[in-house]
Amino acid sequence: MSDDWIDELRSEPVDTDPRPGFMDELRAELQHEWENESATMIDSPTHGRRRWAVAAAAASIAALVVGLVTITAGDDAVTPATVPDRVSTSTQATTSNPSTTTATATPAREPIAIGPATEFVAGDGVVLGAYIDDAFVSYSADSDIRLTAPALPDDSDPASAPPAVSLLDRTGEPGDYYVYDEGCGAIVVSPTPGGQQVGSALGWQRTVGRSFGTLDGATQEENPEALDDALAALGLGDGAAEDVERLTPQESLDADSSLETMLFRYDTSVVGSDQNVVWFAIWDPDTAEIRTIAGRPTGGAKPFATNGEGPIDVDGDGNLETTITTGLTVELVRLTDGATLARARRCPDLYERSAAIEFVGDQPSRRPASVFGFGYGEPVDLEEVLVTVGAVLGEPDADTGWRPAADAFPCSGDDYRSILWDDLRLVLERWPGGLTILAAWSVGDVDLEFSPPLEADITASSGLTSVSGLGVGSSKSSIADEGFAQVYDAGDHVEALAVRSPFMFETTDDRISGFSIERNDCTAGADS
Amino acid sequence: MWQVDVNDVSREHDVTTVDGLTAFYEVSFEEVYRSAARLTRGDRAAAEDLVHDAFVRLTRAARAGDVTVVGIGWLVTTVRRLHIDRVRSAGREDHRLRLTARRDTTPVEQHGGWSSVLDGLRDRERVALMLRYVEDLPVSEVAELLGTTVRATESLLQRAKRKVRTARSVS
Repeated sequence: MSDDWIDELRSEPVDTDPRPGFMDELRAELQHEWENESATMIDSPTHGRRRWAVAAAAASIAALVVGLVTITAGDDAVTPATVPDRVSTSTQATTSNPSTTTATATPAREPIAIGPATEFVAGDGVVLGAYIDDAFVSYSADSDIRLTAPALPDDSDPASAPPAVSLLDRTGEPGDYYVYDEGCGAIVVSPTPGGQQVGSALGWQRTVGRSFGTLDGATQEENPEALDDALAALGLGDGAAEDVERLTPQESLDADSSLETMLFRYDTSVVGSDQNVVWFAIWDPDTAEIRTIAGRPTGGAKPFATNGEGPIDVDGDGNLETTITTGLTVELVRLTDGATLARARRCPDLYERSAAIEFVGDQPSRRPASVFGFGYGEPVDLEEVLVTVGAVLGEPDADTGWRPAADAFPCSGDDYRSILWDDLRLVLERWPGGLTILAAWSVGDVDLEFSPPLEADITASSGLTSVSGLGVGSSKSSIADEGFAQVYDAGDHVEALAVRSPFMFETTDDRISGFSIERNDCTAGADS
Repeated sequence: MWQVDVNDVSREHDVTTVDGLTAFYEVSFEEVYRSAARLTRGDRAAAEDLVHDAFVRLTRAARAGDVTVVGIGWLVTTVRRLHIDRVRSAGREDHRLRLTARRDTTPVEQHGGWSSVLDGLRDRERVALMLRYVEDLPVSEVAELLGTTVRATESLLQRAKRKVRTARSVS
């Protein structure tokens, strides 16, 4: 068949007229950009919406038992908020439910056992603080308390699981939970006896005896015209304003007579995570001001999650707080001024080397291929990446640090960074506001066509494979068994495609010597 | 449609001042937008995004003093590279940057089913095809833009063309 279709494609009519007014808008924006520090990026008017689920999940048991948590005061040693940059777990392969972890929060003085009457509060699955002498004391680097709890139970020994604790959710409904030290000092609350994460964020859990604020329902926001103007001043006028979710509670966030409005923007490109908020702010009709609590109004911020059950008054001062969860870090944030009252950090998920790579992802959920659970093209938290990968592979062998990407296509964003552990190389991109994307990775032979070398030598094999065992050293024929939608065999190069998973395998003598997911290092375009 | 002085477009412009930048914007906008529209095959929102981001990059570079004199090629190349990068990230941005989206254009059927044909290609293949045969770039330049070798690009184009032929013969 001839290639007359090429002429047909060339001559296909394409509308090359921009939207009326676009040129003027852009001109004005560029002039504004010239005179100011940051530009307003035009975001898509289409995105999903997420409403807070003001939960009324009814559980049946209402025992008032809190015996698992102890508190000690005056200990200035390591706290959960100062989890080491590299977790102290073994660099050997570990399981997803390590059985040998122990609580690291060993009190320097005799802990104060607080028993059933003790009150504490957990947000987004992490204990954030406790009440001592009827005052809230946060569990953070700056706090003066230490929490201890049992270690995660041994998977192989069901009897090692501690008894369930009945805790209340925001609405006061009780439910059974299990309280553990995850192994790095973070005290977590889990709905399952093995500590597994189930579904989305956990909202709030607390012991009894303390009145929390409420946030049921939504009412008409006050002075919406002024809010429109304030949004427009932030570059969120017209269509962009439709991207902003506006939620006005029935109760004032700062205990005055007017009702504030909570404002959210989402990054709906985030897949498989509830950390998809890029801007959270409060509109106060009293001051006619928008107060950013986290993120950036025009996007480009590292995605995070706010508490799934909405804000509550944790410390009893009449002002409401919420949790902001970014990566592994959970912060308790006061909505009146954005102050962080507590900060705790989850431990990273632990992987076996033989399950660190998912080549294919998942079609229905559009979950991409991943390494150590970090999806290709997905936002990641750098610190979480370093901790998670480091837990298995140790310290990086090489790290470019952040380098400007301005002249280094094909990468985008402001900066890029390549990090090498053994023969695993990750490439990250960082956008204005801190949004960090996992842009590429490779394992094995760094001379791969799509994987130019980091300025370092590979000194060891990571041994990373998929659950089925596909990895460096596997037979070429085993690529076809991994579940890719398409496999193109071009001799020593094999291209394999699945959900957002454009892998290139390099083979030698029909054995895989390395593989990479599509993208080059950022300097590749300039070098080639 | 704007009236553009071709000679003005082709020469290089001083963008060390906001007036210079604005003047360059006036003479280059149409060509830059047209390039973006071709790449995005009439997806107006995607084309606007590309144009917007390209000019913002230029503005930042000019303000920082990294770029003092610039021609339209700088912008067109930036648009292409931004486009390639976005297509690569289509999985996370496909709601607004799908190469073959036609939100504002004529229904697919009136173009002989091109959209469905191109939809059958991988993003990388589709971009290579468009750059080579619609933008008329030499293979070496396509390879550079894609960040790969000429040999790999030729292979990519062959594969894409084979798929297009197959799809059209079936249809």
